[in-house]
Amino acid sequence: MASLSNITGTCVSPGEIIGTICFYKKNIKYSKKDIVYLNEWLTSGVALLKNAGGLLSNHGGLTCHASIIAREYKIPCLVALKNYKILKEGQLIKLNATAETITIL
Amino acid sequence: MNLENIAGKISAIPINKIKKIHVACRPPEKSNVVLTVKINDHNWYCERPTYYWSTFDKSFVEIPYLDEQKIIYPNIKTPLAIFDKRGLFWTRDEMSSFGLLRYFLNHPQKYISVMTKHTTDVKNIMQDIAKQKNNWNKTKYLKINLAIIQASYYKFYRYHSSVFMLFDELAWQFRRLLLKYLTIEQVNSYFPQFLSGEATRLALKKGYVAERSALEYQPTRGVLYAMNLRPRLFYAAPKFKLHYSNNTKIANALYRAKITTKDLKNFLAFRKLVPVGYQINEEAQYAETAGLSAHLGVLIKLVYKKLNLSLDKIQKLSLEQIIAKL
Repeated sequence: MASLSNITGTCVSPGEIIGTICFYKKNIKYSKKDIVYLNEWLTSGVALLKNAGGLLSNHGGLTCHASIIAREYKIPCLVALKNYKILKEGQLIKLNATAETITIL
Repeated sequence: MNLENIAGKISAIPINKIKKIHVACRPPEKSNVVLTVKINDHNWYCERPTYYWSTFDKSFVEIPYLDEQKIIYPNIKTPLAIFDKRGLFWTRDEMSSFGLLRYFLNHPQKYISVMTKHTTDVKNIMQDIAKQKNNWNKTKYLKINLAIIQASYYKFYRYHSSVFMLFDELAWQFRRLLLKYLTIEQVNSYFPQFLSGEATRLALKKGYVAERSALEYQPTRGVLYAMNLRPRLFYAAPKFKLHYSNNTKIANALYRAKITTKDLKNFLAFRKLVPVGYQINEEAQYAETAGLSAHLGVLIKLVYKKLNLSLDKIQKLSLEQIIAKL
């Protein structure tokens, strides 16, 4: 297990989840096992991700509308990620949004 | 110094020579750059440096933006807000998000009373527009409806800085204060509950969020109007509460961490301000988009048709000039 301590982000919705990193694509049905990474932090994207297990984005802030939606869906979520490029599609990770940590499993 | 002189002085400074500060409360995509200049010992701020208001836009925002100080600081007669000749909106420190935050932390009840007035106004705006619902897209009623939407924007934007500009700073500074004394886990388990409200829950239930988010892809949208969005009057009244889970636990942790008297006072004020500010901000965002912007979009299309004017030409005219041509 390696904690990705270089990745920092801001928690906009607390919670903890183990899942696989998926890079966001339109028209894909995500499940609670998926932690979806979005390059754009738009309401339209997040509004469709009700069933995702976790959300990550290098953009966004506490009060963005997309963050508000993530919070209402109660999906653990970190935004404004730094050093996010070390995230790889398909990696199994533990996202602890409350502690603002990401651990590769 | 009068309004014209201040506006003249600010307008004379080229944009690239104006000092820029970055604010942490907003992400870069939400405009995190604030322009600042010092005129006669007072700091002036432009918190939306990408918004160059046109003559047409100013017909809707100028009066209410400049009037807001009368609601917040009725005793200050000196102008605290101006538009420069480029169309940028500037506020003196007292009306900036920084000054408003300081003021409302010291006067939380004032904030609640201003926001209560705002929410009553929003309700009335919705009713005024709803009365014309069946006549909104009829050319016969265009002049009347333009007057209604202008009056609605006046009422709505009389609270512009205290609703739209202040909120990001308010939420950010509350979180920052908590982080001074508590662990990240304690903060993230406690703070997000203050950023939650009825408007978004109802909007999600009704599928309204998808409509609102359509704005993100609208190339034709100005700040005040959405051309391709279905006009809809959506209103969810904010519900205010004072009890949040872990209040006592967090208060004890703050005491254990030896919170200063000033921070404790601010903590108590933030607990009142942030949930109200959040809900009012949400209410206003929904009222603004499909409520006001989409309704004005319908009227602009009718103006195109009747006067055969492009949007660019409309932008150069005041609403009064347009009405005179109709």
